[in-house]
Amino acid sequence: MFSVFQIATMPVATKITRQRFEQAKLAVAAEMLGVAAETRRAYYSAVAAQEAIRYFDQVKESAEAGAELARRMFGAGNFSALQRAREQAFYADAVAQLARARQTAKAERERLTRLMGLWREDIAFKLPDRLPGLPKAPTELRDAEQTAMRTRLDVQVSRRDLGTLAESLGLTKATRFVNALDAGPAQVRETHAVLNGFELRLEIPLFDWGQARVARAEALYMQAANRTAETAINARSEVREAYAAYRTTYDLARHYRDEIVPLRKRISEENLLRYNGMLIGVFELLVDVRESVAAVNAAIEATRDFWLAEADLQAAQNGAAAGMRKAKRAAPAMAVGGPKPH
Amino acid sequence: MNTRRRFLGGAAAAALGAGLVSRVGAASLPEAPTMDKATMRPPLAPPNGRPYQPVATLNGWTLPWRMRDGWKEFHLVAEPVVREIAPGMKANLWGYNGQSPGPTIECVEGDKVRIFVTNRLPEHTTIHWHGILLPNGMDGVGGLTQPQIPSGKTFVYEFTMRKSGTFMYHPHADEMVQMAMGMHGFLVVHPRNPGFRRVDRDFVFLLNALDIEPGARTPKVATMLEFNLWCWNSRVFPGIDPLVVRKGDRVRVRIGNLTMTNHPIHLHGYEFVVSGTDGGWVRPEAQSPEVTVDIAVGQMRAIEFVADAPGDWAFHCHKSHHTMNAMGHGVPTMIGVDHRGIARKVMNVIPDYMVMGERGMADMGEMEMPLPDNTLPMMTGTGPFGPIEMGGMFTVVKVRDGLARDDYADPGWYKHPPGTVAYEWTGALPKLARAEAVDRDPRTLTVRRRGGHSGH
Ligand SMILES: [Cu+2]
Repeated sequence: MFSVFQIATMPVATKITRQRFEQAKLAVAAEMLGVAAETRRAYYSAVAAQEAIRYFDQVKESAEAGAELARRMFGAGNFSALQRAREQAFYADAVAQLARARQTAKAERERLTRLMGLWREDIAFKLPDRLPGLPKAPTELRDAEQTAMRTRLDVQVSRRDLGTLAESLGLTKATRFVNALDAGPAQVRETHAVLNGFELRLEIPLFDWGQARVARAEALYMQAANRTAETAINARSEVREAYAAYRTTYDLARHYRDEIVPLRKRISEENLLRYNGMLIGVFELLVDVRESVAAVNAAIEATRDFWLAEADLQAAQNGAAAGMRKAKRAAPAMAVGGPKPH
Repeated sequence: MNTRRRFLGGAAAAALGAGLVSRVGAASLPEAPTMDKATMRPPLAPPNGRPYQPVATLNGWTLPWRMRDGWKEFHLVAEPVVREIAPGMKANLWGYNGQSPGPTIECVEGDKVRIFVTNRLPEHTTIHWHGILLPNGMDGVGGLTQPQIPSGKTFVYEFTMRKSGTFMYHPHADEMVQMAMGMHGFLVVHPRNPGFRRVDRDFVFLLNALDIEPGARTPKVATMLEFNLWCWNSRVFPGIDPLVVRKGDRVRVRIGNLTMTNHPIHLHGYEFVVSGTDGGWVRPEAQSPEVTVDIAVGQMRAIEFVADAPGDWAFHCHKSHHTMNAMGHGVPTMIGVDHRGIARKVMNVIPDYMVMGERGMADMGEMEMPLPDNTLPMMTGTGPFGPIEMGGMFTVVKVRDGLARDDYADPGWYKHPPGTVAYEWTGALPKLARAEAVDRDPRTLTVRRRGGHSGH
């Protein structure tokens, strides 16, 4: 694996093209990360869609047994035409559901194939039977934010640009540092709020303006410093947003795994005991199978949603979010975009 | 008066109507014995008072009393109990003195009876003495003839037993709920002359119905008709005691119906007469020979016969669903349906599935399948020749030679004299006219037991 950051920090060819080139590099790097993130998403969707087929197949099998039994019961005179038709309708529905599940799995797989850029024999890749299990514990928001400040492309590039600018303005001796996340983007204050306990920090150096040769230098630097702060604050907001989805989907998936699926299993066991005691009939057992399968399928979907949210959180942490939005819209392209230089 | 108040509380004292009842009697509450067993206790020979031939209460007992200044004093405690319905099932019921039904009260025509009733239920109650001729204020109808007995209070009923016969007691306060929870008991007044209609064995029991969700323990008190446990003395087959009888004994069986439907009670091997009702003794010239006696809701019947035919004679309600335990009424009929291939399909999605009912429901009586906790098989019991396939209101009258006079212990299965049991014809068979029976799926021949299921 290459380092995306290496692209973003490639040496500059000439001073004239420098700014334009920097923006292009950043966009390319973000897009590469975006494709990677979108590929992860497609992967989880494809595995989940394939896993779902197995469960819709069980629904179909139970409905098929019911329909066949109903056919024979009708033949023996134990079932009315209505009772038989009901079981047939269940079966017909189940067949349609299975076909739909198969189609979804195929589409998801093709999307993954495109994102991985595969063709010919490579498209015969094998997906695992099931989604990975949930992590033992969810990532903490604090860690996610810290990782973002450390690894996000836009934040890193912005900081490096600020350093380069300071250097080019002849600002060499930083007199103090402020936390970009404390100060608003509009004004980098020279104060430093000390918070109790944990504090997320992105240090921005400030200088003794006495050494500045012209007032313009101070203005330029502070403008850039404010941009860096804005970048960091927006990045942090993106991470918070992604984390909220990550955490909700984690809790939901765990709820399905630890509560709903075991309860459905318990219900099925009890129903079988009731069947043994001739308290319910085989058709009620088959209905129970369908309900139980629906719960398992919902659990798979919840797990898939978690892994999608996890991919989004990673994207927010490494700055792929912008690139990902593009990758979602179209096949990956190397188009150079970005704001016009001022 | 102060002494009474201290023991009985103000409400109890107030409940004693002016003039009609003795003011002397109770200086202290009689003991309230309690029972922890659900099998029949030996008949209680009277230790004092007028002599009589005591009754045998199926799966029950007789309440001891004390004599005090010419009064027979009993103490009933209305309370929540846990009753074993049959081995494998216990129910949370309400009853008296540790069991449902409550203990049988026995006394003699002419006895002055004082019955203390302590209420340990969470709600008020009363006791109505069904069929007894007594002062109106002793009739036990809450609100109508007395204030209800509040939780934690003791009331006193006092009356003289004016006639002998077969009676019962039950609450007449929140009556539907309290009876659905199992509150009732038998009351026998013996004739002053012990020789009057004397019998050698005198069995008593009440018909009662419970509705307990399979897997649960407490009755559904709002059930009106769809009960799923048809009981004799809050027991179902195979938990009902056999009626053990010495050959040649004159036998009386007294039955009261506290369910919400009638029960045609049928005895095999004998003809009997209905010798008494809750209204009194039936004159001999009015007694007709019967093999089934239909007992309507709220009625009592005493039947009599001479046990001259030894054997194990089935004795049961003739409504066939009353000789079943809890069952599903929505289960489809599988008789005659070819199951080949179906079981395998179902087992793909339900691995522990097995086919039942393809030939009928007798499979149920033969197989021991794991059931919901605290649930009795719909049809069960094993006799000397195989599964008995019964439940509910079914037991056996066991008539034997040479039992001791007071021996009520189960003598085991009847040993039939040679040549007196139905046997298989082993000669040539005529060609069957009807179609061949459906081949069974091999899967249905295997009884599968699931391990690890506890609670039975
Ligand atoms: Cu009946």
